[in-house]
Amino acid sequence: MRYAVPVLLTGLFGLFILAILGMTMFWVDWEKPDEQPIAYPHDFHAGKGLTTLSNGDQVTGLGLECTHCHQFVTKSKFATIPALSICAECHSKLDPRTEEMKKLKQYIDNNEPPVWQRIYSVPDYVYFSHKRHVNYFAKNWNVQITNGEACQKCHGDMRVVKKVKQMRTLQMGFCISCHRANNAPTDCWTCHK
Amino acid sequence: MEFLQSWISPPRADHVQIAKYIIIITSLFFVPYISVLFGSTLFSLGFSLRGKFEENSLFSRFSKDLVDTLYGNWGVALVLGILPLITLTISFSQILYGTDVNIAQYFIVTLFITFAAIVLTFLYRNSFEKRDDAYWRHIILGLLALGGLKTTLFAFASTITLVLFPERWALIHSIIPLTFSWSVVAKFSFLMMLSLAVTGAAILFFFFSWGGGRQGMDEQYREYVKKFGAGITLGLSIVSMLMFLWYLVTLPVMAKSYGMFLSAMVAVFVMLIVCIYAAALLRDSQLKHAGKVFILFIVFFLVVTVNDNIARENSLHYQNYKLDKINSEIVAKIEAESAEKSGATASVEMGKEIYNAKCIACHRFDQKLVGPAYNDVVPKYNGDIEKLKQFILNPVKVDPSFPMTMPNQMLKPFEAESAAMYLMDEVKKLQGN
Repeated sequence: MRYAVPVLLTGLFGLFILAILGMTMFWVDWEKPDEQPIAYPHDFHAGKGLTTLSNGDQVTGLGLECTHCHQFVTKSKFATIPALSICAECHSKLDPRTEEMKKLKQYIDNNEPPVWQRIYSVPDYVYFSHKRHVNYFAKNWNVQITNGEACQKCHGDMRVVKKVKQMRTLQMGFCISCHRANNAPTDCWTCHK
Repeated sequence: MEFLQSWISPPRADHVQIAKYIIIITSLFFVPYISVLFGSTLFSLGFSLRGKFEENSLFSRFSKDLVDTLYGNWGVALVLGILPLITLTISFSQILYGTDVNIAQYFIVTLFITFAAIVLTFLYRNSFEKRDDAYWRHIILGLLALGGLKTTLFAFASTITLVLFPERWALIHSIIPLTFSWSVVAKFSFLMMLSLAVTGAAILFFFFSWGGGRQGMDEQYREYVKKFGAGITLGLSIVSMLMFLWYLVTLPVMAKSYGMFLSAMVAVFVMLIVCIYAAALLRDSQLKHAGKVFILFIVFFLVVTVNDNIARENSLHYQNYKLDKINSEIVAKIEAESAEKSGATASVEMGKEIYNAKCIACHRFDQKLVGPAYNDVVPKYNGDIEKLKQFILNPVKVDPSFPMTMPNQMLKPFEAESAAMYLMDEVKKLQGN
């Protein structure tokens, strides 16, 4: 009888901990992306200025235009991931200095594209066009597409990023807030075609 | 309040790290203090009303003893209530440097509300002297103090939750941000229930443990206070855990990580220990666990603050990269100024080191890699070291057949000159051979 209350409390709090474990498993299964096949550093490729590679070397960023790799962002609803041939333009000729460059060299030598893990996706019932949004931002916000300024609203400043992570919830409120602020249509069939 | 942002200088990496630790420590001072202030005001008001309408002197006495014991003095209010908010304002401004959220503004608003709330609580405490003569004035002051403290908790919850949602920073323009966000409602509910629960623990600690306990309590009063404190602690700790789970559900995806969930589980475990001790106090006549409950509650606050910090770090993933870059630029600038002052001069040897460290990744002398072969391009400068140096310092696209413009290597002028000297010297040697 003396231990009845502590046991009950332990059982109750055990349920709370199980609930948190359940949330963790949900996050792992549905929200957390798997690791990328290669730890591609956006800050080195797209950024300018000093940055540190995975082997600790301090180097300066290449300042590549975003559209150099994400070639169809102004022409299609998908931004697209670059084909292996884009990476091979440089990496087939370079001595691989880091482990990640060695991995990429192997993919190039085997002519096998890496299976990149998607970070940003909207549900099937949502229609989102990169072309419409990026061209609108470039025209009305006076930002550039090539250097990623037009992409920052949803993806953050990729020029400083080492590891890509989802940094926007992409919930409906996020989209509607921006549509309202920019006098864009907010009726249902705009996005739910 | 943009002028507040201009006071914050670009932070160095060590400053950012210190700011993050300061946020944890000052939150540990501020949140329990405001929580106990809120809880004691609410209970005091309730017992004052109950004592009046039931004509029960025990309740009226308890109502006064709560504020006398738990409020502290103006010094305590300054150190635990006001100064932490000022510190949090500065620390958050540091870690959010360069973002489009004016976090300092929201903390300043919270600071004003907190100050007003604390003034009202002390006016409420002073009103006990003339409670019998001006009873409704006493109650109204209590209600105003309670309203002020509730608003403080809401403004604080709202401000720190805003940091977890980078997507909303550019959209928020109201004085208290995120008024209608589920995350804020959940956090606020959690803080409210926690406030009441920790007040129960504070009653046990300050009435029975701190400084030997409060003197002059008869057996009936003692027993009532003990049961009230333990009961409130036990019941509202369980309710606060439900609110905590709700808060975790409402967190945005970018705030989540293994560390965040693990620290949440540790927090729940600590609260279980609190509840077991509180249950023991309800059951037993002894008071040996009275102090432990409050100490464990402080440990719980520490774990929850760490949990908040982990969630915040996850949400500020990209901001941390930005701060790293700012730090690198500051370090590079300091090194450049230091090199200028030391009068470093260009040399072929230095140029060779720079070639081996930087240029060799894309260039060779005798073959085209990512960049052109030096044997092809360097002779076009006709021995003009200055012209080649200027190109290295400010590269432009010359041949469209190459995939990209040569990136700026951020060399200092004497380094670019060294590289130019080495390249010309080496090309001359190779062509001579």
